[in-house]
Amino acid sequence: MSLLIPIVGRNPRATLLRIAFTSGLAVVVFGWVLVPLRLSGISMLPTYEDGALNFANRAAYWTHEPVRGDVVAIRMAGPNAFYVKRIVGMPGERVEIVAGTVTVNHEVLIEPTVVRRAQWNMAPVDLAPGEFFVVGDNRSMKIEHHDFGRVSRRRIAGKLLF
Amino acid sequence: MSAIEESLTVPENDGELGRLARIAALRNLLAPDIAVSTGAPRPGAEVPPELVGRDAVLALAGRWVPPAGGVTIEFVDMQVTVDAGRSTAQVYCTARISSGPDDRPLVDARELTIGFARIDGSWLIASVRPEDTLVR
Repeated sequence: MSLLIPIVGRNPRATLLRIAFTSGLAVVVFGWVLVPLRLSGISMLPTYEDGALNFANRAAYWTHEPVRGDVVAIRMAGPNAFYVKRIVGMPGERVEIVAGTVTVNHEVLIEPTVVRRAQWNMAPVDLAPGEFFVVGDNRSMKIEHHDFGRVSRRRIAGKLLF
Repeated sequence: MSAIEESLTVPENDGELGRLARIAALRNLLAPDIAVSTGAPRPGAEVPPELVGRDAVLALAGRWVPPAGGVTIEFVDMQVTVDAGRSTAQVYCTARISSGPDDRPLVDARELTIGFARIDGSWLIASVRPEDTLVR
């Protein structure tokens, strides 16, 4: 019996309750609040490296909507595949890309996280209510190799935790 | 659906015979007037946004060069609806595309609506439409 005291403590019932509570909390947090992500690809360089680990925080948008600049996880297909992109356009805005520069409602968007820009060009896109415009931080890629564009609010799963 | 997976999955170091066998198997799964949407048009895309007809789809399949490590196609999260006359059906699913022999890292995933038609007693693919997540 004395060998079990370091394991279960002097109050095994309390220990078991603590274990059950911690386990339940972990299930709730990692099942419903934080979605583990392993980033694959280079579209978010230099902000996030290929293979980086992170979490999508679903709770981030329980009390407010996504805002410009947020890096979000976008449900790509099914429950386990996500894009990770940055929001540059909000619902109702007009987004255009001219020679690598993003403009929103005809005003140049200041993007401190973008280091190098290839000469991307994209015709103006008018965002509907509930639509956001997302793009990765790596603009040195060829435009045809970079997935970006309009996304419906319902596909935004959460905000990256760090 | 498993027959479709088999006809689209390419093993590692696949040869010409295997490729021809898969195309032949795929032909038996497609309706003659199949319509395949490849998604929203993108700059620089080599595939047209819409393919109509079995021959057009098979021609594209014949031109496709898979990676040496092979490609695995899986359909998951399927929801099936069959019309009252049991002549058409819709399958809403997620297509997961993986590459590599063992770990098979996920390369791409798409939500699809696959339409089936019952022709001469067999269910054949009549339409394929992906749901675009990011649209320019």
